[in-house]
Amino acid sequence: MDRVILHSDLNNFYASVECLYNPELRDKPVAVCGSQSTRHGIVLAKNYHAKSAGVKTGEAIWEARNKCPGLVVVPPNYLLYLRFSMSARKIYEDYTNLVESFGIDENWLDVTESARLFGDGERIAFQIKERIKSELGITASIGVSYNKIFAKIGSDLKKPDAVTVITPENYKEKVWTLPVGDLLYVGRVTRRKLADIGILTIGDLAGASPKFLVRKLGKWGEMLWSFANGYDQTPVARTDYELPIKGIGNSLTTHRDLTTNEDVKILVYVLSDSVAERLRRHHFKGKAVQISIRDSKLSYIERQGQLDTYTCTCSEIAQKAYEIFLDSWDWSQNIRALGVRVTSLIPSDRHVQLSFLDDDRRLKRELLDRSIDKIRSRFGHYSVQRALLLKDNGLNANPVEENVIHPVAYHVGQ
Amino acid sequence: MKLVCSRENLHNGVNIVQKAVSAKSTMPILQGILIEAGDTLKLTGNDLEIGIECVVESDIMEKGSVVVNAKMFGEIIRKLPDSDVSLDYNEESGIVVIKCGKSLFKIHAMSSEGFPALPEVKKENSFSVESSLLRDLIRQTIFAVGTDEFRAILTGCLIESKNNELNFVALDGFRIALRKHNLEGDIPDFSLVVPGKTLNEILKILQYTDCDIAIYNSKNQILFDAGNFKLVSRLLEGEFFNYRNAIPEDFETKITVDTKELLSSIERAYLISIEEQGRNYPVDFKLYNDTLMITSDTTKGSVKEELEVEMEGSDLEVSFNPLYFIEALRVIDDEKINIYFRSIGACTIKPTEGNSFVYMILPLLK
Repeated sequence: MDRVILHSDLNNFYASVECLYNPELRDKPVAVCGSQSTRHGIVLAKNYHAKSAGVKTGEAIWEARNKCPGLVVVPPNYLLYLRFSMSARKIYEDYTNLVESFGIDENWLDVTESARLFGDGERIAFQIKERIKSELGITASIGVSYNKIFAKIGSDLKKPDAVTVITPENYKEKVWTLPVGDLLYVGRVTRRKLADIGILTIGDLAGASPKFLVRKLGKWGEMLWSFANGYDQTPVARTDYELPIKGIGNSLTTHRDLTTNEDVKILVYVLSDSVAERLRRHHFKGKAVQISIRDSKLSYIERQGQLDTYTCTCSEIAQKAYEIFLDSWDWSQNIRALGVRVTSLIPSDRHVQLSFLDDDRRLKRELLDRSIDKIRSRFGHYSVQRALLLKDNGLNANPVEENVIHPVAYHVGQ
Repeated sequence: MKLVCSRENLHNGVNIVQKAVSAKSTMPILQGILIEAGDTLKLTGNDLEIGIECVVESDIMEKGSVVVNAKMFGEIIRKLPDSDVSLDYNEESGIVVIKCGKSLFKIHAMSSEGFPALPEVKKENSFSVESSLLRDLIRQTIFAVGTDEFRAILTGCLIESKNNELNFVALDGFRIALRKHNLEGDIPDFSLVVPGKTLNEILKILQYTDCDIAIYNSKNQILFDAGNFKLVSRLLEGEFFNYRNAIPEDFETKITVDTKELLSSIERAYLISIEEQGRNYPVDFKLYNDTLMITSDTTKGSVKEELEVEMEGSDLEVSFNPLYFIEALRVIDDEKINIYFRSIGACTIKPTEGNSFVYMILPLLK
């Protein structure tokens, strides 16, 4: 029996999420770009308005601005995208347990066995597409086919918010007429090689002799030939998308310089509180604590230390950060800005091994922090505060929401 | 010093004492074996944590003593032909001559003067067990010792005697292994913690022996005396975890199950649940209708195993690290066992009759 494979692609994913969070951007051309200061100033994603003005992914911000003068450039917020990606995955998992992530915004689903429950592949694709629209507020285009390669081609055929079905009956007219570069794994170099031997469409590739292709392209040749003919049999593997986030951190330039240990302690708790909350929100735990200090003469140091175990609680992070601070600062200068960052992250698994040693306290601390998260989400950040912050001195803040997060706090990829 | 003995006896003796020689010691003399020819031939290895001495049958022509490098001497003896070996040490030249069949070695040796003597252990708190029993007591608990150097005391195994009952206990925070044995005779009460490493070495040595072993302990040391060999080890200092309070008495569901069948099922489920990157995927236990269903569902795939069990109590679901079950079940010799489950909290494995062991395992919370 033929398999039923879906490929779901969240349209203009980064830009769509940004527009959702900033509705005033919706009708303007928007590009999500790496920050210029860290020399990653290229377009990572764009919305349809920017696309129609000719903005391309991968080009420099200045190039994009030349083409599209009114372009709104926003920095990426990977943790937000990750959350949407996980929410989309939860929707997929309502239909099948076989979900394979391909990047943050694409997934393959094997729904062969789900047909009896939810109807055929096309029906499931429509349900998923509608749910993503109504539950997440973004759109997806979904390809339905009998192998992963054609499913992916299907999701590219019609965008946004569409379902395309490619069957053994119609694949010749739908797929074979496409340029060969639309096939997965055919990049610029392969495309040029194929063009040299007169292969321009996927149909040309399917009609070529596999032996000839192997001679020209090596082993890949036969693989691509089988892709083009819809012979691909690779299963949908259950894999999670792992975002290569190395650390989560906050730093704050205060209204006035910090002059005492007490000032620093207060700020360390404010920052650790926010770092810990974000670790929990995105299901991470970390083991290394890093502090950064910029003094009133603007010179900058970073120091770090290791915790005994992986954690996501404020008190453990703050204690360590303060301890590192006391070891590394002699107060020859006052402090202008302070940062706390947690690295060596692991996904805090859904599974916690219970222990009868003193870890009990650690678990309780984590539960306490999670309860505080809930209270704050209902009654606001300032509804629950540490007693230490009553000594305030104007240093209290809510870095999570009050737009003082430095974008450099996310270090993604290489 | 001059003596002759059979290669086989010498080889066995060297093998035993070598377990107490540290290859990495910074002091050359501690990398050596002490050979003492007095009324009998005695070999000694000592890395200051563990010391072992062993008596080897031999003909002694001339008394004396010398220290030879354990690794080299051991290799030489191992590879010699099966015949009589003669050892001849000339103090002035500092060379040991080894002759066996048509082989002749001359190796540099060290004076025995600096070799640390085994500590004296007063013959207090003594009791005696058969080597096969001691082997079982160790084998059935040692796997659960901790590996966390920050909790050094838990890297050892608690040996305690109370009212003629001997307990071996090992635990790492996630599980407890407890083995009980009733001793005959009048045994003093004591409680001590022996390093896991020591017990592992004894376990290896005991594979080859069947005899009674006398055990003595004083404040800092324990001595295992099997007549032809003795092992002395340092004890771990500190308060051992009060394990009695951690083992629950109450339960929600009790099952009786065939040990081997359960072990095989979990071992199969483990094939799916082991995962790279240090991630811990649980196996899920589901109890209903006299059935134990074991499942695991990971990125690699999924597995389902069903076992018929005798069941008492309510239906229940709980998840575990499969390795903790596998390691406990592997050392249980009983054909059938009782397992007491709670939906949140520890589960315990006990014999269907008597109280010779308890294995407690904490679950994974989902």
